[in-house]
Amino acid sequence: MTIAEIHGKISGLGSNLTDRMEDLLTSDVFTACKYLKPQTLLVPFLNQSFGLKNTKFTNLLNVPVVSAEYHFWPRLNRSEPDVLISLMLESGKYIVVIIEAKYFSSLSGDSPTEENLTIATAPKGQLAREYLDLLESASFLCIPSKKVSSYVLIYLTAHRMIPEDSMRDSYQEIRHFNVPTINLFWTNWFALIPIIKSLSSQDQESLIIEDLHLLLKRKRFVHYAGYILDSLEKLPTQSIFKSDSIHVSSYYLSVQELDDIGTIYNGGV
Amino acid sequence: MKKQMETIKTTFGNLFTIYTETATLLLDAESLMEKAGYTCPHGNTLGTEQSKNMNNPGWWITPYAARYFIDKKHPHILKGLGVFFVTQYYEAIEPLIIIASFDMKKDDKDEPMDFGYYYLRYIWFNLVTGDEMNKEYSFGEKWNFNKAKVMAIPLENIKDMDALIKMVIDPLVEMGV
Repeated sequence: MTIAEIHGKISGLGSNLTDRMEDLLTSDVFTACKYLKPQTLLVPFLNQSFGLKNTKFTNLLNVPVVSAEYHFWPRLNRSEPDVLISLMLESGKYIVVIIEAKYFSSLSGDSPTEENLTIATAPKGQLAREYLDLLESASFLCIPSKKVSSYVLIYLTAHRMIPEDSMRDSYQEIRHFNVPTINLFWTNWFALIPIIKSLSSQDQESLIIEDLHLLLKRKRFVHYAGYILDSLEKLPTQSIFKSDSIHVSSYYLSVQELDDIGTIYNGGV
Repeated sequence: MKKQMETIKTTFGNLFTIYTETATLLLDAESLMEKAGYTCPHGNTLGTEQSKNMNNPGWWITPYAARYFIDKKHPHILKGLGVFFVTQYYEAIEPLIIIASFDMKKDDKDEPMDFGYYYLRYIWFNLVTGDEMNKEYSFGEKWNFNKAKVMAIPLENIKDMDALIKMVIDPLVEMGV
């Protein structure tokens, strides 16, 4: 199931696939999360995220997650984040999470300069807009706001290390709008494979995990782990060609016929 | 399939793997160097030397892959890191990681002068008299640098990220000139 297609992120003819690689990747990863138990992939993945001041998602999650509800590309007041997730905890409380996912592109809307920020009345940067929407998302999710224990925005990118500058700019912009507690975290796509490798899932879950593993390896979301090369012993003994000698002889026949046609052409025109 | 054809197929298959793993190593190294306060001027372009000359087929393939890094606080300090598969005479060698630190000359405007991709290759294979691994060699003024240090590490020893950090990145960051 391609959730990106359900939400119209890919045109009917697939002509915008290149532009939509980010949406497709988001769709693939979070579809897998959705189809698996939250504890299998989603929670360990969210637990990898952390903020600039060494704050961590895992510190907010001191009660087991019972269920997770996903909203892909929800239209909120100021923004359309990639995924909005409400995590229902065993305590009956919720953690609401927005995922802003990036692959090749960068954040839309520059954060204002320090000077402009002092007079800013509305957020400009993408993460700041999404964060303010996040704080108002309980009504969108039909959850009483009193039941929400934490709001978290996770900036998910293909950077190998935390992009400190954009995180710092976004943090400062959010702070300008009098947000008392800012849970702005970052993680990357590279965090998924170590989680997948540590899983020992069985049954149908393992099929989803295996496919996700293949996708992430294909996209090279891996860190350096040495060189593993084929040896000659591993080579297939059968030729990839259907045959060798028989096809060669029939090729000569067709060349002779072509020669005859060439002769007529040269003589007749 | 004949044995020789199998060998060619495996060789090229392995070549793609070697370059892919080398790219991963260099990208991880770049992010670690950025965290340590360095910037890489290359963008997504690989620094290397290659030739398409019909009389020079050995260099049709990429013989080594290198990245240079500029110290953000001291822009005249240049660091280099490369993975080498051949000597300057196109002879295949046991692969090496070569790291180096350069004190670059400055121009009339007090800006650091340009560097050449070949610096890493040339200083290890031509300027250094010894060939001991994991040992720093120093030498003086040449081309656009005042002085430099260089060290080679067998690629075989760098099996994962931990080894990359401890045996390559940390020594490179700490390497003075």
